[in-house]
Amino acid sequence: MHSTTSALTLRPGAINGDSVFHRLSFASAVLIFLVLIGIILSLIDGGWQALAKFGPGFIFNNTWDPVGGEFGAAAAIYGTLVSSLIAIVIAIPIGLGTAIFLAELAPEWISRPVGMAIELLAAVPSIIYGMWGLFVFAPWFSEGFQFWALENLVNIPLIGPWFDGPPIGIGLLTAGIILSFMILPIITALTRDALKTVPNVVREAAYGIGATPYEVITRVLLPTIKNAAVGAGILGLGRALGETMAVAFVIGGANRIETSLFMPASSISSTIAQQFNEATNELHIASLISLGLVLFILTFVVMGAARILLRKR
Amino acid sequence: MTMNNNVNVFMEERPEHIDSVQAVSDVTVTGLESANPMPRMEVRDLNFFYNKGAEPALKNINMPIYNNRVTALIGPSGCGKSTLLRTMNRIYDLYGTQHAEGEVLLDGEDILKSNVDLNALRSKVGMVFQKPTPFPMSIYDNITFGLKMQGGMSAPQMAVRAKKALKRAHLWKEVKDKLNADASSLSGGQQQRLCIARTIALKPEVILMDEPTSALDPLATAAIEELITELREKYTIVIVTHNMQQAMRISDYTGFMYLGKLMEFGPTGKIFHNADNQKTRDYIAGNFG
Repeated sequence: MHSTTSALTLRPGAINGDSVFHRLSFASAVLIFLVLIGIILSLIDGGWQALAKFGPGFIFNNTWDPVGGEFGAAAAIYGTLVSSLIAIVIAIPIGLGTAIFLAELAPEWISRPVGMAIELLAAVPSIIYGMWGLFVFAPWFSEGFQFWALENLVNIPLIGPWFDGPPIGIGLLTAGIILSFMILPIITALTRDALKTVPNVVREAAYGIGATPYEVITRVLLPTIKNAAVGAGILGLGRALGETMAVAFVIGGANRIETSLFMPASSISSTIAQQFNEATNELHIASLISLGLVLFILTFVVMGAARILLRKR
Repeated sequence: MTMNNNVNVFMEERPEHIDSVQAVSDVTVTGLESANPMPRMEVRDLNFFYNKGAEPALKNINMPIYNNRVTALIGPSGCGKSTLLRTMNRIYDLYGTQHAEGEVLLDGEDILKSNVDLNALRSKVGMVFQKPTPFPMSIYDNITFGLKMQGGMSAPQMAVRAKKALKRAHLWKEVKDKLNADASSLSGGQQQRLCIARTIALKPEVILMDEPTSALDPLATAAIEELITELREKYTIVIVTHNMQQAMRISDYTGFMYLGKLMEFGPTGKIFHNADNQKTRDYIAGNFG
């Protein structure tokens, strides 16, 4: 290198420092990738016995019989998907409504404390939601809603069968509702923050041509933050799919696919959590690990689909 | 330019000298009664507060806004020119802590009164902002958004109105084949003309423009300025600008503001070439600001 120090010459050592930094950051990026691949490989390796024995049928078979040695993931997949679906169906409208209220309509003295409360709600450990769900919510849900539903909702065509089941407080619907409480803060906080990033001049422009608050919010602000709102929903869905402890407490732990949302069911993560300690034979353990692989892929597919969905718009 | 003729006429008719702010409103209002333009809006004893108990951001403003004329508000940053503009359609009302005292008359009616229908007011007094603010919808929907809210128009009527507005804003040729495209796909200058078209589609009486060209390149700026000059035949325009050449080029009247006060108001030619107030002359000469 040149030894003069004119303005255009690189300082000595600059290139070296740059290349070290470059390699370090590249290494960090590669590391994440390696960890990801490592997890997938070890899941496949650990679950190989089950995957080899049951093949693709593992996903479609809804029998989970540790004694008989027959394992299928269909019931757990069903429970995971349905409870997560219930959760986002409940949480998205409520979260969106809360976010709109906090960001657009509420005066400062309300939006500040409520906003803080929502952030605290996000920090509550999931085991607390599980205990609360089992000991407080489930009995109340049984008396307050399920008995009423059995008398009033069962005869409604199409949706009636969903509510035809034992009013025992726990089950698929309860799991979905508890999950919705858990993902509500994420959805609310992200949507609210997105609304707050919309420049005021956009609101002023809309109000400036005579729009009412309802029109400004539904026609201008929500379309503006559409991507962020969908992203918030997906993040919530991602959490709901993988949530373990709270669901394990309230879902009931029954490996069945039933129309009734009142029936006990199981999810992938709750099945793994409840059975891993007791699993003694190798096939059972391998099946549980395969179940983990299925959850991994499921989450991956949902996130990927969401990404594609977002890019299209 | 044709405007200059008007200006000279007014100057000859106005021998009086204006020394104080108080005198401004008296002189301009009385001095111009004989001339063509009538005041469309009038600001009277206006004080504006951003917070309760705070120093007023506008102090005792008195000025007319003449019909079918372009009125420019100039002055250094923070002098209150945008604030004054924002009282004219009460857009400040969106923020609970801000309030105005005094009167702002539109066709003789005080718009600061609490019983004013703000949606109706804002469709009469349109606003164009510093940065283009296309709504997240198609070009066509941007134009008809306000019309739909006004109500009472059929779809074909709206289409006619939208086409007229786009033509008047000199945007029609560029967008006629992609009316359903997203408005954000337009360039900055096109977006700003879209915002102007959106405003004139509502057939407002007054158009407020808050530095409408400061985010645009020189070509787009020239297009907007030309547009403003044309629009003044049909509309009354108030424009806030940092660019003094722009004020000189496009406005008929100019108000110079400083520290929340309207220091001087008069025909643009007089303000720029023969101002009475020393501060005005200093600002025009570029000695501060």
